[in-house]
Amino acid sequence: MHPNGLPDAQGLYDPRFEKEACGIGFVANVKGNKSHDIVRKGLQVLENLAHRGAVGCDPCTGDGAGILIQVPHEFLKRACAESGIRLPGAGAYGVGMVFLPSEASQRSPCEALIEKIIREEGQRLLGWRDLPVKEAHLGDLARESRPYIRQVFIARDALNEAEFERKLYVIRKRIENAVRQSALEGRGSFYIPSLSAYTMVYKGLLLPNQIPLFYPDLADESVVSALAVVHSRFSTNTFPTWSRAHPYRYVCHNGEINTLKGNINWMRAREGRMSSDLFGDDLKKLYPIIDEGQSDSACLDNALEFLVMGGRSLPHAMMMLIPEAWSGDPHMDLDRRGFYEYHAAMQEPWDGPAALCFTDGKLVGATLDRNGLRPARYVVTKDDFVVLASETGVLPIRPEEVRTKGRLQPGRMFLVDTVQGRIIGDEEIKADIASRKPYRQWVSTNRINLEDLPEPLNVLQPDHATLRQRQQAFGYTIEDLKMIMMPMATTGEEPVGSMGTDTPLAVLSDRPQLLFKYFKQLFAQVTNPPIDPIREQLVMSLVTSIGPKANLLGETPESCRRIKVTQPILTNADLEKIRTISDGFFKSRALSMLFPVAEGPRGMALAVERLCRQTSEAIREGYKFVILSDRGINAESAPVPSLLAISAVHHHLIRECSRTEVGLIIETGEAREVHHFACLIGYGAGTINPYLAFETLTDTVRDGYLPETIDAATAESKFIKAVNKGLLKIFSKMGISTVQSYCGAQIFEAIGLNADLVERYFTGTASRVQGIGIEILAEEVLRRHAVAYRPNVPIRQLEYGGEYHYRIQGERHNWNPETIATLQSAARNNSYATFKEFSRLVNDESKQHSNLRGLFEFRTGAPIPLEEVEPSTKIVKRFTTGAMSFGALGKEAHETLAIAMNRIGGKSNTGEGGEDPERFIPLPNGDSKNSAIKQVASARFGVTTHYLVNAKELQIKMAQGAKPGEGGQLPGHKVDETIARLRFATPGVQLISPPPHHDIYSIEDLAQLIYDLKNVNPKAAISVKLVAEVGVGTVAAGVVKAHADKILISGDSGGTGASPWSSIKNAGIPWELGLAETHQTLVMNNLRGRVRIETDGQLKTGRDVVVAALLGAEEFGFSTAPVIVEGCIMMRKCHLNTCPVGIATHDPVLRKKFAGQPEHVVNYFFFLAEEVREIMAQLGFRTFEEMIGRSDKLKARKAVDHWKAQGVDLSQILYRPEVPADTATHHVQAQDHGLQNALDHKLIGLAGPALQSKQRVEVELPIRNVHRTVGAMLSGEITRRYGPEGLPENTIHFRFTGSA
Amino acid sequence: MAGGRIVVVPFQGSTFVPEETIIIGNVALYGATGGEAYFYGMAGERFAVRNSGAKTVVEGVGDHGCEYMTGGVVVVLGKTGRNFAAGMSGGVAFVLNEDGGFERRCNLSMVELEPVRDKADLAVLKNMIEQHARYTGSAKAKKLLEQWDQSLQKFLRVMSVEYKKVLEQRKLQKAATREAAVHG
Repeated sequence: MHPNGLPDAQGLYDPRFEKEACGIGFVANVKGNKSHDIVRKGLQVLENLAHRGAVGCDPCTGDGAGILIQVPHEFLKRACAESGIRLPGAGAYGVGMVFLPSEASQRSPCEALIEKIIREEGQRLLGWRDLPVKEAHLGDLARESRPYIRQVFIARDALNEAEFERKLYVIRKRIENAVRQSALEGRGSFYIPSLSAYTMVYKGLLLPNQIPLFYPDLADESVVSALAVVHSRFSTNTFPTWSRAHPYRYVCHNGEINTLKGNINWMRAREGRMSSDLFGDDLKKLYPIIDEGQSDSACLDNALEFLVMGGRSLPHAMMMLIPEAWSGDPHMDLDRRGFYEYHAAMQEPWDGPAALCFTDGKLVGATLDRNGLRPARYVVTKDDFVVLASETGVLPIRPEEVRTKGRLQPGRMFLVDTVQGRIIGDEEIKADIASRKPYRQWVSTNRINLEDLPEPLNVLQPDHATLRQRQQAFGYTIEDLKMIMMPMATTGEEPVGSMGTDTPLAVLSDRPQLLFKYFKQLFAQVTNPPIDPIREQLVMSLVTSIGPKANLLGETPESCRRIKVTQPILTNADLEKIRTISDGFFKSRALSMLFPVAEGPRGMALAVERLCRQTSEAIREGYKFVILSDRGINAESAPVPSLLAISAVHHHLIRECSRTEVGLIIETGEAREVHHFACLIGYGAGTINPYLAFETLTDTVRDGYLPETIDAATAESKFIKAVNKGLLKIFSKMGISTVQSYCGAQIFEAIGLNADLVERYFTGTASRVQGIGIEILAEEVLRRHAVAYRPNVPIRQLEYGGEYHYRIQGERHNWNPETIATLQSAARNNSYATFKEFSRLVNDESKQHSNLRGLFEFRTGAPIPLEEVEPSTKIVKRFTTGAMSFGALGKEAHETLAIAMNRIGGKSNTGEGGEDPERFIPLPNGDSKNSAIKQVASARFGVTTHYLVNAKELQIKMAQGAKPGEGGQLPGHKVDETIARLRFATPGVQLISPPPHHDIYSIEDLAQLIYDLKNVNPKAAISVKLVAEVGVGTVAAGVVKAHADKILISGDSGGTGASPWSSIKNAGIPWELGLAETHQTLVMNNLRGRVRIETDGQLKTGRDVVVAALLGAEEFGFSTAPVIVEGCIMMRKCHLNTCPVGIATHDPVLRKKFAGQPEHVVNYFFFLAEEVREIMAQLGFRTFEEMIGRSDKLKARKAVDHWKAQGVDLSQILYRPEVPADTATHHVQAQDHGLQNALDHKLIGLAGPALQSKQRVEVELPIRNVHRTVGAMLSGEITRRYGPEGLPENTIHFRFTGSA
Repeated sequence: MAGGRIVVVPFQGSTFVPEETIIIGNVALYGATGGEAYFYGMAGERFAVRNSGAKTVVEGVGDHGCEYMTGGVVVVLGKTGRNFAAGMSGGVAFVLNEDGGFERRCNLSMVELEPVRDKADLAVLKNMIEQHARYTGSAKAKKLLEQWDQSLQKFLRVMSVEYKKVLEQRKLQKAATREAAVHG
């Protein structure tokens, strides 16, 4: 068991991806008057936030709830006396809440340890009190996992209040470290919710209403407090985790820290450099400051506590960790800006959505992240009472009592000072803190701007003679130049492509690949929103400063002594400026990333070790910059992959706790695509000089490949601009706003790298199918190098590449002229034999390592006769077509798919563009163009009540395989009259889809939308579309708890009408991994039975379907294949409106060429089903259902002799969690949506006369925040009866009173 | 929201100033395709984001108001937050620019600001404020109507440049067709 009560990592499940969301709030008496009423009101707020929390598989066990209050002295004095403890006066002791193992034999060693550390720290134990608890109301899971809870009391003898509080912190950190490192039995349940002289935390794996029942203390009238902070939790699992409830010691948090990995690493990296007068020698006892393996919120709490204990005020520390958006705000007060700039030099932001309530027992407040991605509303009454919470209406307050009401705005703070007895607004707090020290002046004196440095005398010039060779050595292809770099240099934008990727994973490719290709970008989905970096640029920032970072606990003018850059790509001149800087402090040393070719692969490993060693030496010698450079390659020397070099050095320095002593700059010929730069920054590079990319551009200008208006300098600046834009897009996919916090945040998953390589050089990165090690990586470098420097055969021409477009000599593509022609012929001629030929071609291609499923084979045995297998007509009902919008596809192509799917009883999907209402009416011949699945995407195009009530399934698209975490744009020329009508827009005007659903920033928001949609159309199943990435399983668990009926796991190879190539190629992972992770995680959580799982992503054959079923899928989506059946020839021109076969176009002339027929599509799906049946017969399955999740029927293929693929290990994909025999492993039960409690049943009843005979109805009703959705079911009912026109104006009039 | 009318007013007996007090949360009218809504108070962040058909009056909005809007009419009788009209490609917003600082708070990369001159615009704006006064009893709306000519000076029309161009083209086309019909 994991220390926090979570299971250990197993199969594809890893506890570190657990997420949570919640409702938060606090109540306080502004004047600091303590009363029991505050506690009672806090509990009432908590109870009213219950619907923001969740319950797991056991309805009586909540996900966690808690309350933080001030230490109630009178109560404790009396209660302690009963336990034989004599407490000193108020404030003269500290109280700890301690979770202990329930077994007495395990408990006493823990207690002994605590007592020993208290003694060692020179403090006096007053005694232990057994905390009374009542477990009668607990759920089974909570009861079984319940810790034994005691309070420990420590006397404050000699120390002053601040010193004592700091000492209690040291004691707690020492205890936590000691327990973690010990072999004590039952240490999994050990935890200290709080240890303080000011505050106490009562929390647990409870439902909000169970808190006062479980902790009878809280009902005692003498438990008084001037403030109470509360939290109701919604987690993405059902595991018993008492410690993960909030509040923590200082905060409770609604949100998610996206840059957590980087923040933890940076904190660790600082440890070597920190010093503090306040802590003195105690400082070292606190390490690690952040206890990894906790939730993100707990980590943030650790960091905040450290800063506060280190001497900063609570709001000051908060402003350092979660700064508002300052760099792009020209109107900000200059002192405040100075404050942020100064602190940015020491502390990177903890970036991500956050609404935080915080308190130190005297101050209590709340703040929002820069994007304001979580809600917070407050009310102040005339009798000095304040309530702030995630939503309004959590307490009944009479309107005449209200003094002010408000909401917390993005980046703002709201503070109650119970000692001063007043509320302090955002302006005042920040002005006060920003003027404490002359931060602005310190910055202007000590910080250097790169722009202000003198232009260098000599800048390295291009070397045309060796260019081709060097390009080849770094793996450049003609495609890279033509399709990626030249468009970037011409337009300043990333190039756009269409359809899905169908080339092999890097580890399965025959060709040597760049290390970057083994890394896949992660992205936000459901538990936190991606951001729109274009429309919401004001929160984004590429500004950073480079160089060493100062002691985090110090506050000196020199603490901000760094070099500021406005963006992270350095020109050659920029780099020279740094190299030749006259300020002796910023000495830089260049280290060569080259290794001798003669030493072979081993030479590269040695070179990496050398780089690490040399960097440490440079630090010892006082250098402040290390430039890792691969300049100077030649026939004898080859380059270490830049990503390997930077990450190896970065992690080496983190381990040595010296990372903050030096700035790392990388000078490399390798980086040329946005994804490359993102990888380098994500693994620790501060700035990058891509010299060969610049030389290449100069060369293309010289050879006349770029338009005449573009000279070399323009090409360079446009290229940098395109990289900058692309970087912001990649950050924002994960909901990250600043390069400062992205740096080192490792927002990637590796596919195809072995554990040795990853653990050593990319520590903390997920890599779940293993793969190549450093030797093969070096082999790839050497192969490229060998071609470049072949003796006596100078290289004239680069290879074409063929990564983006199929070429005979190029990279393999699943869809190639042969497979396309064969499939079309099979479907058109209704020839099963030809289909079998297609399927053989595709499966062979897969088996030649184009994708993971190709590496599996079936464990056959005990076959059954084909006739005994369920009929095709049943199997085809499990098939769907993908969400291709009318907009991306033309009218005929879209309607043909719908007719075909309705004929076979499968489901077609509207896509995100709405649907023409005339399609809802069946055709005279019995066909129907009505898509069974209606999508609800972020732009909500065409989502009307009428649309919703005409669906069998409503699909909420959270992400799309080709471009997860991104929005989209339909250019004006594709918006014709019909599309504009359906999308409620104007013809000829471009349409933008936002990256996030603006009503879904978290899992409880998704739960709300599911509930809303279910209200409008109770008969429709609600499905949620996710894209595979590491952690998708835990997100899916949350989605099941949010009551989705179905989850779609899309693979990275999904198609698109238009996306940046870098997203099509580098974001997301194959469905095999995402599906298996989801299935395993849901089974482990006992949630699998409540939901159906669908998967998609280049599924083509019966074999693909069976592999997916065995890995856990019930339904299967197809897009490219049926579109090819309709006539698509993969021209990849969907984004241009010039589709030559009339599919992805609205041009009436081109559309005439459309030759697809529903019959063809029907044929294809029946062929598929037939092939599925054949395999089922071989495997001995009579029904499809019994096949789902039977990964034991798959095994990895033997004799994989591929030079790279042989290291791939699929065992985690095939893992089957050990669960009780009765745990469901496929869909068996319907979700309980709780619709019976909806207020709308009453409304519909009351509106009866209107609904039946259009009579006017007027009613008054009360309303509260627990009425989650009002009017939706009624609207659905009206539309079902009266169509889109509804009822005449003023027919139904409801007047509600209350807050909701 | 696809149709119908929503009216939100403060409790009777409230003593706070409605037009300075938040009355609805974030992301109200997201993706609305039709209907009307009147809010006697301020809205939170991202008011009417992706609105494509609803007509609404509100007395103030938070950041990112009317983001990605493609249709409908939004009238704001008070202050807006930052980044108003980012990515707004259609529809129209009328904002009361009392402190003269609206331009700073508006994202001008896709839209332009103009005084309200067009006759049709004038009619729509006045009518919606009248409706607002009628349904909510808004003091602010009543005051604005009392001195309508002066009030009008303070309104700015927010409209997508591209959208405006298309509308103008259409007008021309219509005129041309009419002319062709007359002469034809």
